[in-house]
Amino acid sequence: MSRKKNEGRHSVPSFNIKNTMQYIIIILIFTLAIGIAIKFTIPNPRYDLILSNYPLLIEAFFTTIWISLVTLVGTLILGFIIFMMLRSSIIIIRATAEIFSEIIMGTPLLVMIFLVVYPVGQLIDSKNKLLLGIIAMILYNSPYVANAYESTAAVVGDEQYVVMDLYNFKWYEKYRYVILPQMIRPFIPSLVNNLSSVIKGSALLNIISIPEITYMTTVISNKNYAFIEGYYIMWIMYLVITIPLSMLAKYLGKKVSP
Amino acid sequence: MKLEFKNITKQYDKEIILNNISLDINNVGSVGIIGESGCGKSTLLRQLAGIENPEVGDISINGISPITKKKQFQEKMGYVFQKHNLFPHLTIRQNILLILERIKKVDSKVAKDTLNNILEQLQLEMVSDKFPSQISGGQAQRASIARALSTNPALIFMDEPTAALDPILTKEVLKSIIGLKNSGIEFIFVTHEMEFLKQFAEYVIFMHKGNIIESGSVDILNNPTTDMLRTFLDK
Repeated sequence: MSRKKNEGRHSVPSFNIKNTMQYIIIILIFTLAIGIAIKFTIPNPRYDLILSNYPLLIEAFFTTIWISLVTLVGTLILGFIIFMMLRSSIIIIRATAEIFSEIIMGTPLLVMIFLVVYPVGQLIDSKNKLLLGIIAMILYNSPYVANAYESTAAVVGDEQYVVMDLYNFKWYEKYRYVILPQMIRPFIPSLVNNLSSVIKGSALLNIISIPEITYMTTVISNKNYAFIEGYYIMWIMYLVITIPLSMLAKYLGKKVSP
Repeated sequence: MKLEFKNITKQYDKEIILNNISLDINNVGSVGIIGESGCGKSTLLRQLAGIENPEVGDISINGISPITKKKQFQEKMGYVFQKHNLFPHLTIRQNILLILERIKKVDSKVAKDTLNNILEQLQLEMVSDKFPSQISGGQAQRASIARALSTNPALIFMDEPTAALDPILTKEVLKSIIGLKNSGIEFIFVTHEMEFLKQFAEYVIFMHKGNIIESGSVDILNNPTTDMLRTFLDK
């Protein structure tokens, strides 16, 4: 019966000891593979040279986290503005949002950071690279978040809009009382995923010398001529943040789905 | 009620759904619209309620046009859909209070009194703190009737309010609606339930393929003058 019910659908294995054990085994194999790579792919690895700078690494770790969180907040705000513009019935507003999104989505993050930090920075007479770098990341991520808002707003069916129109809801009342409250739950998983991609994207801020994970490990490893070791440590530091976030997104995704 | 519409034409994707139809009636409390599926009865109801506008034609109900004075018209009306269309993230109580307190800006105490009276009238007190997904289809449909009643409308539109329900729940909902017969509220409704129509309607409109074939007092159901209505009633 249950087999028939799941026919044609991607079925998710249920949680039990047997399945969990298989997951644990695969996790151990991957951990082992990474461990072997770290240990044996470099002759005479000198991780200690980098790890002895642990206060700087920890600082860089938290710098990455706070920059990512600030970027995320900015992205949520700008993404929401773009989302609202995309839903506007005034063509010129919608067209502005659509074309802006297309341009940004077609631009690599590296180019975006350069453009905002150098030409735009010069234009607005700002040398605050950190702030400009964060602005570049916000600009880069906001169209993706606007898309996430759009797909979660689809949970509000057309018939609910008919009801709101019948009772003469003003536009902000529609969002405040009906649309946003229904969007929050399905939006959470994409929010967490977005934070994960912001964190990975923040690695590119190293090109403007922001002391985040990538910049700091690169500086330390260059100084000690331990380049590969530096990249391995950098990799592990990102995984430590992104894997729990990914697991959280999956968990929340399951929890909020009907 | 004075219901008047002239030359209403409505089309979707060039397919004519309402074909230049007109009617002028006065002094009827409730109007039932019947006809086979796809005949245009729900479309007509949506035009009369101002949810959609016809391409051509004028409508006036009790002297107000739902086309040109939509806002003023809809202030005094309620609408019950085929499916309950309650907001799924709010409980029954919150659904009604949202409309009263937040949208219509009714004083909080008055809103709660109104709510409690309506919940009692429709026997929904027990489920008032539940979400639409936690109650039966019949209860949800009664809750949507409660929402329509809450703004104290002079006129309520109902679009096959029992279409999505099984026979037992249909009976339950229709009983609640019949209980409103002497409430002073006027009704324009679409239905497939002939017994309910006979009990509740004062005036009947029979439609076929976008045209009004026959209309008149509820007696036309016993003495149809057209073959089409006779055939429809025999089915």
